Amino acid sequence: MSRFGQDFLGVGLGLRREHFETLWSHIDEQPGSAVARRSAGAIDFVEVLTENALRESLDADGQRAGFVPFGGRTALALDRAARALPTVLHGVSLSVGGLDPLDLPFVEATDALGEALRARWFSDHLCMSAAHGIELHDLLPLPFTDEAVAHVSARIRQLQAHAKLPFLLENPSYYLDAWHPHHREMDEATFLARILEDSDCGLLLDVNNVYVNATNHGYDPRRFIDALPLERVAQIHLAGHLSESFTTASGATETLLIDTHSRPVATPVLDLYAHVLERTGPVSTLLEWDHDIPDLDRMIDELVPIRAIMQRVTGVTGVTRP
Amino acid sequence: MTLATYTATLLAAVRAAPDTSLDAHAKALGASPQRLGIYRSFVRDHVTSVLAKLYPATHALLAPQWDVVTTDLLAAHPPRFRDLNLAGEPLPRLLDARGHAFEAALAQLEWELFATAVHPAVLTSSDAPTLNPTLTLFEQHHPAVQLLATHDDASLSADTPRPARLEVPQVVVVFRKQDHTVSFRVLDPLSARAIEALAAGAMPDDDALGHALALGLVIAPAP
Repeated sequence: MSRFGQDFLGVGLGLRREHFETLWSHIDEQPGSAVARRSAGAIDFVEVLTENALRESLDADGQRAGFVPFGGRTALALDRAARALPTVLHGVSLSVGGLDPLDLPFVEATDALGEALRARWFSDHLCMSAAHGIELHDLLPLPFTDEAVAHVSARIRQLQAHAKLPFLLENPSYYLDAWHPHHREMDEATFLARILEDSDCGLLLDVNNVYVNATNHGYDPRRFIDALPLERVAQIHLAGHLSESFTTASGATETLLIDTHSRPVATPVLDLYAHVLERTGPVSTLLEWDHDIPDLDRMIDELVPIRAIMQRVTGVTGVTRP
Repeated sequence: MTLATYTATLLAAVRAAPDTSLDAHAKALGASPQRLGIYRSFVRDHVTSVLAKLYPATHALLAPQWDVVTTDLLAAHPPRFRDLNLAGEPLPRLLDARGHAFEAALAQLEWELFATAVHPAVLTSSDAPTLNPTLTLFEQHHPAVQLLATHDDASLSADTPRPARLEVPQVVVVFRKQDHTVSFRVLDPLSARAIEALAAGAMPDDDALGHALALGLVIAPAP
């Protein structure tokens, strides 16, 4: 089974420092074994945050000299996990939509990391995360304009021409409202679909982000999903969100969903996940959890409903690793 | 509005000081100031949360001024690296420049603890005793080592008495052990002898070598 040329990897978790000591009791560490695990307790693949594995080395003047891997416990855990399970890389700092030059040395370092971990692909978000040489360490939204479509598509083509690993683009959550018409020449689904098509890029579909955006911006998440080129979906993200209230300038209270990755996946998001799988068939699916991270047993419990939906909708009951 | 103008406007908004109005930026973008403020908070919070993790003891000592310190740090040293931790690297220098001499020394020690924990070197044995490749030596005029060795972070606060400046600076050694724990201490004469000899390509005397091996400053040869 494959999606947009990428293998179906099953259901996985993000590899986090909090689980470095406990992960090993939940995975089969015998390389080469045929694994067909569908019970609670199974982790089919892990996603490594690129920026948690690679860091800049600085020269005596405090300038970037290159990239080095995080050593110590991180290096040990990454190596051990990659020996046992399929691995994918996920980034938050590539700034795919930014105007600063694409950081090709970072792409090369990501490739080298991917080779060391035998990663299947790498991904990052449709956003800007740096501007004018300043790293913002957040995913800032892009305007839905023809200019942005052309800019981002060209950047992804450049990225794909340079990188050895396949690249997937993720749809981010965003909170800016009622943009000026100059910033919203098309709807979000059209913006994303045009970039995917123009750059011939795979999609990491974050279903929680779709739900959060649809709620915050008042559109139908199913219609959004149906408007995307779903044949390009090679991975899915699921995560939890929080509801937060704000006071507007007029004194009114506005409630927004915030994509916090700090909670179990909400039921409407799981329903939307089923809607996606009905249209795509089995897709490698990863549960993200980055804040208030629970212990691994609890995380694995959260995979149970995800697996149940995968099995109910697609009939897939196992992944066999070579 | 072009993508370039949009980017510049958004950048100015998310880097605006926490207590300033975003009305003008929001108007230019056609968004509400409240929703634009979400991004300003996110951008700031990502850095401040990592600073608190990198510098727990320094944070505790400077708690009442911490917001001002982090605002000053972000203004003077905008993050330029993908590694979010590196946004905190200039903090010791900034504290020193602000007259927080003891806290600057403490922050330098905490930074070295982090840098050593993630040092890319792999600690493997070779045919002969080798200097631990994660080892760092630096001189300090304030007894930050003694404070950190005798207090846990929870017991530190703005009221914690700051030790007096040392009349003679001390050399601090930080290194990662083979079990991945990070150790720090004032360099003692036996350790200094062992490090000096191995750094010069010579074999230390037995007393110095045995002492440095026991501490983990030197990696024992493979059996």
